[in-house]
Amino acid sequence: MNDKSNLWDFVASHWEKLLGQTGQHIGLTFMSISLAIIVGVPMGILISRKRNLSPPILGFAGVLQTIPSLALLGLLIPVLGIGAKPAIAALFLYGLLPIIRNTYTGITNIDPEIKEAASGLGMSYRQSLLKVELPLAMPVILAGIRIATIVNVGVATLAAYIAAGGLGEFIFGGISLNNTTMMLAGAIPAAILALLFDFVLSRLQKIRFRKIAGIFSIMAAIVLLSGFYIIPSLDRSKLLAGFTPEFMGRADGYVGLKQIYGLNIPTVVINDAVMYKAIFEKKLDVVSGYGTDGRIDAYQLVSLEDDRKIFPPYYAAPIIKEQTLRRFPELEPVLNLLAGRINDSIMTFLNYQVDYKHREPADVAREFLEKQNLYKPPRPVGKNTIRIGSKVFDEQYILASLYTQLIRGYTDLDVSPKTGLGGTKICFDALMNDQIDLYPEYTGTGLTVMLQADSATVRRLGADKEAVYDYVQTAFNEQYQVKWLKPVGFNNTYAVMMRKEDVQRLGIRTISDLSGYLNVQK
Amino acid sequence: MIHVGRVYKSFGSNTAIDNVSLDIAVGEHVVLLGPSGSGKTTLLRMINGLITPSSGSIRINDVDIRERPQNELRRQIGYVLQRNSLFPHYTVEENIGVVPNLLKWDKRMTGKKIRELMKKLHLPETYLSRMPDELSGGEAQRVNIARALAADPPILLMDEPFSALDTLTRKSIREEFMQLDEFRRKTVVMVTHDIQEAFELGDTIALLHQGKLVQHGKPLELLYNPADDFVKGFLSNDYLKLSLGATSIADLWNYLPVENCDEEGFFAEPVGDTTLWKAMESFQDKNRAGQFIAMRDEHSGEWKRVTWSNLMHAYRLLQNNNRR
Repeated sequence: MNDKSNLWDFVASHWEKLLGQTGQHIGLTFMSISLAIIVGVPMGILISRKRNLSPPILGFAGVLQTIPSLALLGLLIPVLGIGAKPAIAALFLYGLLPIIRNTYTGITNIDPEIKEAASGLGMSYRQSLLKVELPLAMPVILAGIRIATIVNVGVATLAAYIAAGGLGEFIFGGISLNNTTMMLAGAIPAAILALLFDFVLSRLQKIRFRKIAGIFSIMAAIVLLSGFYIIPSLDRSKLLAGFTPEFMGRADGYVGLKQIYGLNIPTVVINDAVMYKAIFEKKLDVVSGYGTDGRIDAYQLVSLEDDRKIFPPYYAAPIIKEQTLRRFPELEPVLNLLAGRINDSIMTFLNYQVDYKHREPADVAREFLEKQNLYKPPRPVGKNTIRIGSKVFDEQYILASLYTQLIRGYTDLDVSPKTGLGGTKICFDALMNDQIDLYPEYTGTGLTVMLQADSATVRRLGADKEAVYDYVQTAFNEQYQVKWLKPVGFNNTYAVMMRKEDVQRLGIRTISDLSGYLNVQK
Repeated sequence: MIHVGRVYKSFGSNTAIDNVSLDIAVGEHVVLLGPSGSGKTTLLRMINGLITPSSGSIRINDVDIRERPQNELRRQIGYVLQRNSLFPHYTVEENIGVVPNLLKWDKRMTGKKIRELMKKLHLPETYLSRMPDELSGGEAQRVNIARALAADPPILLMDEPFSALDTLTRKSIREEFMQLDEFRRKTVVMVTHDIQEAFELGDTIALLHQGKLVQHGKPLELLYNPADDFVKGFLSNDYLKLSLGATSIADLWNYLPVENCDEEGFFAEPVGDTTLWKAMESFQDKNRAGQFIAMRDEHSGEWKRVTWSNLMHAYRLLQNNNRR
């Protein structure tokens, strides 16, 4: 496979979208940095005058920076909703610390003799600040702005998780779709942006700031550049859909909805973790999800019937390398203990326990095994260890816990969990590179993501559970020497979901109904 | 012109200035001298309001400085700090022009004044666009002096202006500075810890110790009539050199033997300005191989022929006389 020409083709066919995302990315970065400058520089000046204020203010800005970016975005959603506003707010908060700190350091590090000369020669407080202190502190302040900008170019990719757009859409889409080309199409421009901004700001830093006018023109330029970004106003007069990056890019996801159902709905890209909250708070009306998701009940959602069968079956089964099975023949029967034991409603219930009741996956797994009379206390461990991987969502954590407890109870192998691998691509690469030994995968994902089956094959196999399983089983064996063990039983297929009240009010039951409703609306 | 009346200043529990009163006449050059921590810099900064006294008052031309807007007050008082006080982001021209610009002088007038001062301070015009970090220590200090003088303030405050320079540069700038009209015309208050410098530049010396003004008087008064043991001790190390440098030939004139001499003397300078130190130095000069030098008192027109031992003898007589 020639990745270079692939990338080129991808860019050529998506250049309009890429350009839009780059614009959004620049806009998000500049908008947040301008705000951080407008707030941070005066704060830095303030604490350089009133030194006793500096520990609390610098401390507070420091704490803000330690909050994980995704968590900060999550915290802002109830207040600011989804879209550009919370993204800019989060990026603004991240940008504050370096700007405040460098303004403070820049001013306080000026030779006291020079400050004394300024007031001794008769400069007023303002004159001393504007003519002497700020120009002299400017290189340090600019260094702070530079750090904040570079950090924010990186963090702004996460904006794609909350429907604010930016290059993160391609990056996260690429990760979850196992599509390196798409990932690079987002990552390379993001890296170029970071390098470009770094270069431009490093040039600015070398200029001697003799007059305050120079500083103001720089500030003006930055604010002007943020105009690049027109906050995409989410049109709420019609229904709005929020889909995960993965769903957006899949033939059996959004692409299929458009092609097969003729679904015509404004969409934003959003992370699975915040999607449910967003639809519950009526920031979104239609979301993508999984059939067994515990949050369907919790958030009073209804999954629409896939009447034209575009979603292939997603039966979960552990996948493992043939060579591992040969090394530890005792593994296969143990892993197959779960086969057929968990149907859709059981899985939904287990997910609900973890997602919504916030119980530990290990506790929920143990409870289930005990009920099924499968639980055995852990045996003393030998010298071999099995590494179990999982993707970052609760169903995978539960499955990983189930397998962990089974292996510990039935064999003398030790288990090292490698949970929280962020997406299909990362999980599968980890398996192929011998970083993990097994993880639970879904037949539909294997078919469309790993095998990249063409749409004709997908259509041909249709919703036939056995056919899809056999197809991936055979193909994986040939291509990767990886074995699909027996399916656990439930079908966690894609689902399109809406709020219960909307469904009842609008009389929508199937995806065709939704598509029809939208077309009439026009 | 400047009146410091019963001033106290304390920082926390530390008393920096303890009941200091000092009167400075128009045109007087006062040197604030003392060991470190004696309060000399604090006192200087009180005169332009950078430090406010805890009690007591400072009056300039009979107006309490607290009654005037501080910035306006400071623009009328020249202020020279150590070498690194030039604004590093301004050119030489902009540095010198700071105060005229604050006073909103006409640009042409400012430009003219800057060029005039640079010429007087031996700074070539090509330096106008240089940045402070492109100047040598001596050049920077010349610019610093020019900056303080630019708006022609009647009062000049100097805080150890030469102390950051090497000995040679310090000596030459000091001598140049003493020749300047601007210096001669102005009331100058200068802080130093260099006793030699104090004796050379000061009309009077105010010696401070632990925040107290111990003695304020002419250099020779401090030398010959020290107010207390501290003054005596403070000057004792340099006593001979100071005394030789502070004694002028005019002081000795009456003690020198009358030995008429009609030859033109070697000193073109007036006797009144010639110190004993300088006269002694001229005996060291190899070109003056002769055993004597000729001197003339310009008041009486009288010539005297003086040998080394004549000078020494006269000096001893003067000393005895002063101690009595």
